[in-house]
Amino acid sequence: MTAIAAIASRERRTGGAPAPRAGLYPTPRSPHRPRPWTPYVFLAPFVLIFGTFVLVPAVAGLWMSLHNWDFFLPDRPFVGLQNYVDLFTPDALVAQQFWESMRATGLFVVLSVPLLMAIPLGLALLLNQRFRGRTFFRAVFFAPYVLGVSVVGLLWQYLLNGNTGLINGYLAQLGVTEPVPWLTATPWVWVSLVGVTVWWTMGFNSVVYLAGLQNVDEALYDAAKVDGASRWQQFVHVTIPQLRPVILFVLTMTVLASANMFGQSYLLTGGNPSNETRTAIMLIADVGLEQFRMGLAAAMSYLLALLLIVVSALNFLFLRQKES
Amino acid sequence: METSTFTRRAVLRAIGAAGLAGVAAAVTGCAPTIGTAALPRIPAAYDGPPVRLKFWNGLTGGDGPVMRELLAEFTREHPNVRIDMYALPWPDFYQKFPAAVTSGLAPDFALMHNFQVATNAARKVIMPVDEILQTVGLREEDYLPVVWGSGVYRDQRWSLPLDMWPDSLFYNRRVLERAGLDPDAPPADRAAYEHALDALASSGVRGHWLPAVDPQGVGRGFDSLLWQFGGEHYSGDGRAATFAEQPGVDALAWQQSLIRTGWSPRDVSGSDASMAFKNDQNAFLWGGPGAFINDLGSVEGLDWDVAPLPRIGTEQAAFSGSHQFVVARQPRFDADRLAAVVTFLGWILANSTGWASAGPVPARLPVLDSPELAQMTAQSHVAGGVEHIRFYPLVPGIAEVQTSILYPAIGDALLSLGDPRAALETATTQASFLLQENAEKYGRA
Repeated sequence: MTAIAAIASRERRTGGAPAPRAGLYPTPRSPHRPRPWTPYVFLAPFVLIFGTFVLVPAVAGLWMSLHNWDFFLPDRPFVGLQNYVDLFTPDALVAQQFWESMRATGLFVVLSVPLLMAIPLGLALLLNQRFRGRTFFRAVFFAPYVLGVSVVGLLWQYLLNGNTGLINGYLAQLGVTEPVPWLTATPWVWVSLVGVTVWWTMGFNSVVYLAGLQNVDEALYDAAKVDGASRWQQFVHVTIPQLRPVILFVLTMTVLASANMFGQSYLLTGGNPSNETRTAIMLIADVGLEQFRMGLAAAMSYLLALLLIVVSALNFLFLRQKES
Repeated sequence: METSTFTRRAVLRAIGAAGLAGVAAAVTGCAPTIGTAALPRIPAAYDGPPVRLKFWNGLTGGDGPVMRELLAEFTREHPNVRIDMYALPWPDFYQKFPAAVTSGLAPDFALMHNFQVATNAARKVIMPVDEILQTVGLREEDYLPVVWGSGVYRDQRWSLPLDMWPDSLFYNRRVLERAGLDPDAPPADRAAYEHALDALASSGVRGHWLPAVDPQGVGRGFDSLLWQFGGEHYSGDGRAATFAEQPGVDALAWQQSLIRTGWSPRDVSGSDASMAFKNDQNAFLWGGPGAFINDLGSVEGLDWDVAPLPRIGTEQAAFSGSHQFVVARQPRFDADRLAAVVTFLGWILANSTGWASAGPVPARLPVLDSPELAQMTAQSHVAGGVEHIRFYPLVPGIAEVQTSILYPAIGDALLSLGDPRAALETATTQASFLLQENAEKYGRA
């Protein structure tokens, strides 16, 4: 058994805190024994808020999705599963729009998640080193994350605008005469959206990784060194396995956040070109809250939610299997 | 019947709030309980106890202060009526106004676009106003037929037109002069327009920055051109789209030719075009007086003027909108408040020259022809084109068909420079689908 395996197996054996010994805690006497409903009273505030803002709307949404539901019309006929059927009828307008927006959402996830997993990890490894100004750089890389999406959108709009933007202005000075359509043509729109999102949110993932890195036991690295592991081997065999729960968390959150992307497209490209960058959330908001076709929008939301649940479950399964 | 309504309402009340699966913003909701309120009898002018009215609109730009000044002036003349104005961006307004009415929190009156009146009438969130026409002094002969007809839906009048904002040709005089063109004679037809663009190109200026990105700037230019080529957007009953017929194709092909010839850069947004105009890099802007008169007027040293749109097709035509006053439906009407509203509407429609300083020109022809208006140079030049204005048809839901299907299709065609007929035909199929759905939805209402 190598040194590292020995340490790891000792850790597994001992687990966390020592097991409580019998008789350590006094048995509560009857006047202090909690009444059976006490836990429920403590849970009540959360249940109330959760019920009002999550559970009831979710059930109401399901109910709405079975109707041709316009908020402001008195008559909302029951249509059964028609809204769902429409979304799977290839020549229906809504189906085209919906699957086009799902494609945009999927593409954004596929393009942004790997970058948002890898770059922040590299950054966290760098920021975990000891060097002068470390705190300053940690703050600098986290800074964009505190900006709201509207600020980020406006800022990059000024920078990326094809005809009057700063970036094309500088490119022209460098001799690029044909302006780059950053916000109006593929593939540039995806470069812009993914780039802006990475710049904006990588700080958050870095901080999460950093917290994970600081929890890795130094002894494991020492043991690896004793075994003659190179820096790369230490990274692969110590850092990555130790970070697995953190990676799972970051991956799940990043996939969900990317699948719910709205502001960047809305503010930067407006869905251009040809609704190529109109994400599912953008379409749902447009159909439900601007055209007031709420039944249809609710049906779309459910399909999207279902898909995200499946993706998240797969994430967990995949990473947990690897662990075992 | 009664029972089923009650059951649904009971269920809704029980669930208390409704939302879009927690994905979109949660929206609280009860069944709309729009009663069958009718307007009470209204005295000619209000002289009762002091009242404070609520007035909602989307005047969030330079037009807001102008309206507030008029409200203050009205209150000086009618001290017992105070009007609190709430301005929110138009898209928000069209979401929140129906919501406010259905939840019993309606303002007393509001301003909305002519192409939204039929939608809101079908939603029953505004009141028919036929009964107050006489009191506010609205007469058919004082309006252009298209304007007079614009508030009438299902044989009832729902709105009172305040103004008109025809798309017009804003031109940069200095840029024209530098290209050797006469700044006092802006081009009025296709030959002159294309000649001017050619001359401008020779002087190194792309003369018509054509927006291809923001939907509104793109779409309204197309609308004007389609009408100029003799087309119509929709069939008479509003159930089918007809913009892919030859006039639409010609209109879109001409727009694309501006980019192909190099008279316009590619990938232009509305703000690019006006920024270039203000920096003497662009000669022509097509747009409404509300958007441009005060905006361009505030740029120091800019030498500009405005004229009716040139005739590119076979006839003269220009897209126009109109702000119209509507009376919001209330669970119960208060005769005093209503009388105060009517007094204000009568006053402002008669005093709409004051509003003209916001940019749009008065809808009432005698006011339009008044010497006061003639003194406003830009507005009077815009007024020169009003006889050719066109409005969208009075079909509920028409604005969303335009903005969610037609305008993006035009934008795409201008970005990709693809086949105009194919682009419009795809949009027609999509639009007809939505029109049909709207016809059924609002037909039931």
